Amino acid sequence: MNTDQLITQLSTQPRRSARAHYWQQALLIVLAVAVTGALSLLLLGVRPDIVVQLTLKPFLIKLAGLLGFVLLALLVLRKVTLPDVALSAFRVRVSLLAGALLLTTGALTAGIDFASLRAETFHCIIWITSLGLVPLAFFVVVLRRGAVANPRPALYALALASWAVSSLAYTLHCTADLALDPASGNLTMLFLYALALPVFFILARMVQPLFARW
Amino acid sequence: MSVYPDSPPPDQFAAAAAGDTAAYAAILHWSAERLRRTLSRMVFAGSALEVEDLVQECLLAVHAKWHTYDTSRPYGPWLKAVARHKLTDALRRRRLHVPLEDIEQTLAADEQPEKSDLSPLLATLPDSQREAIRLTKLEELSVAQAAAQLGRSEGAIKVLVHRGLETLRRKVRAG
Repeated sequence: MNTDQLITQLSTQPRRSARAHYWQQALLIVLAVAVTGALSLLLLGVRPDIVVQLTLKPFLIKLAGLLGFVLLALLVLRKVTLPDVALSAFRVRVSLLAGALLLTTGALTAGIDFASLRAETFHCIIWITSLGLVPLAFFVVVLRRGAVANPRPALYALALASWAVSSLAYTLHCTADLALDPASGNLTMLFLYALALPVFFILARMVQPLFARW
Repeated sequence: MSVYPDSPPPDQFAAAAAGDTAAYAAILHWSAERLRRTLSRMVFAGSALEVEDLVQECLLAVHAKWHTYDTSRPYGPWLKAVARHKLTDALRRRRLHVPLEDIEQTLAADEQPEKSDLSPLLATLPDSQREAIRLTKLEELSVAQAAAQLGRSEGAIKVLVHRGLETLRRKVRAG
């Protein structure tokens, strides 16, 4: 078949509309968040003092912060599915490194009691990673339906978005902050949750090249 | 709607969005022309047939991922990004599925290489490359043995074999 014939054939074939694609993406993202949240509530349950916590500033700040992370990560995830949107992998890497340094410095300055948190840390990492497999699967579909032309930033976005959604879901159950100083507790919690991030990067590195192809 | 110079006329996008097949075909023709021109300039693109194959592959990708094009942005960069991705894929695939080893196997399997179809092609190679290929691939000497026989280093033999096989591959594909 020559190119002219191919063009004639393609021009008569139906195309997916941008609007439908947008809503499909939105639906997949909402489903990812909803299913992860539901799974967290089903498997782990909600923390017993949730009603009280919802009236307390530190918990609301933690919730709002994680929600902000989720929204930011989802925005980046959507951006990386557009082939002509340039996202420099170097800049993403530098931002991640800067974030990690700030977080570590902040958490260390606030004084983490690692000894008392050891068991909680392990629990957090295991559950955040396990729950994160759900959004990871949904987001791979999001990437597949888009047109990722720059795989490295897509990999970071996939890992960050999955981690953020999973952390948000897990925080409804997590009571580790009860043992922490309310002033610096959120920073410490974020630091603990972020310890799961490298696992997400490894998972995304394994999954993305295999499944997010087009 | 695209109003950038590196794009087909804006009214074509509106018409294509409204289901006008002729307008969509015109955009694809414009894309094919642009891709052909870009690909022909690239070093790896061997024959005209190969360029046309790649153009078609890119057009299929353009069609499949049309929904990711935002008409408020320039079309040229979007097309280039899609094409770059497909080309990387195509090159990677070619390295996997049409590897140099294919030619190596063809050469090795040939009991009478001097009379094979590849003989005229081998004859077109520079002496050093032809000798390196003859010794390592046809006479099945080790790189060290070939290096000793030709009075060159092992690294030089590897480079000569690689370059020779590359040239042969291009010539075979060009027909």
